[in-house]
Amino acid sequence: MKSSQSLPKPHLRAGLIAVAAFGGILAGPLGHSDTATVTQTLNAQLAATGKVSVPVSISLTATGAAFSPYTGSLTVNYRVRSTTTGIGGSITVQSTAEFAPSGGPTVASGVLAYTCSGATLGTGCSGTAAMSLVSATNVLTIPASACTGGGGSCSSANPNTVTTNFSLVDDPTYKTGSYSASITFTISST
Amino acid sequence: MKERLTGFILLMAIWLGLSIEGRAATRIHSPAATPLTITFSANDPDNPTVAGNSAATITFTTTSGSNTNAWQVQVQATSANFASCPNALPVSKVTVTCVSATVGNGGTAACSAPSALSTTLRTVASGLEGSGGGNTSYSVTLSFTFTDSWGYIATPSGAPCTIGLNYVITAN
Repeated sequence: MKSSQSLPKPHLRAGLIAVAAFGGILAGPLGHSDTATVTQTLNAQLAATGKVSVPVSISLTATGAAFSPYTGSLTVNYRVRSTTTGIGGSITVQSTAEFAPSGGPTVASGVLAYTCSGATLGTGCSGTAAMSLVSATNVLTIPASACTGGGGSCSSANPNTVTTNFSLVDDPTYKTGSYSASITFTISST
Repeated sequence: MKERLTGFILLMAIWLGLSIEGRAATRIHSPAATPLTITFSANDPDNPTVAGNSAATITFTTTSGSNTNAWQVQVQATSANFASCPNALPVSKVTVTCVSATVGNGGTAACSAPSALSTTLRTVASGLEGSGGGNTSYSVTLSFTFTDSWGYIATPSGAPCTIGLNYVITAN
């Protein structure tokens, strides 16, 4: 005599399947990934600063007429950035050594002078200034909020330039010969 | 036949539920990023690469991790430009480099390639979780460099440009 164990009735089987499947879904991927966020701050302090460069030397040459001044121009290259709250900055020049050898012109007598032109950032010196051995004299005034290159709020030129035009009196009392003096350009920014 | 199929479906559903329910979820604990602030002191645009004054260290632990589950640390800037700058300073001028990444309890850790910061999430380190019921420790060390330029207006002393970073830690 054969005997067989009967399975649950169809409606009960469907219910068991639904419960098992639902339990599997509930225990599924939900909640298996955890995240956390932490924060940090970056600060950038951009110092006001400037760099200046000039040719190693220039020669002042006679312009033609006898005892007319010797002249020559020098291009000053500079890059600068200044703060919004400072007083800007400047480029100055000062003679650091008298003309040598002796017997010719002297810086101390005020015969070496200059003018400024063509500044691409800031304002060049106005009028004619005498070179000095004892104090720096102005070549360029740099404004606040200055920056070099890129345009927009900065200059488009990079580097910036200003031209200094030198003039040296040719006095007939000077002995014939070559004379040289040293000058130093200094840039500052705040 | 119908009964056999029904039984098979029933068994598969029960097995699936048990296999998933039997593994506890990975949980992240004690996430931290130090120091609070990293500063770039940019003094000479002719030497434009400026390192931050400190490395950043991201640490956290996990429980109930698995050596087959992945983890990662991502970073994003809170805006495209530094704030409080006199003129625009893009956050993309900062490069983040993963220096080291470590994980315990049999997990793995690898640094991602250096990348520029962005408002988009960037993965800096990733790997497989450490396993076991106890705490697994993770540590990621990052360095930052800023590219300076003469094209940035200087900032007054004590009033730097500033930007926030979010580190998102994920453990699967």
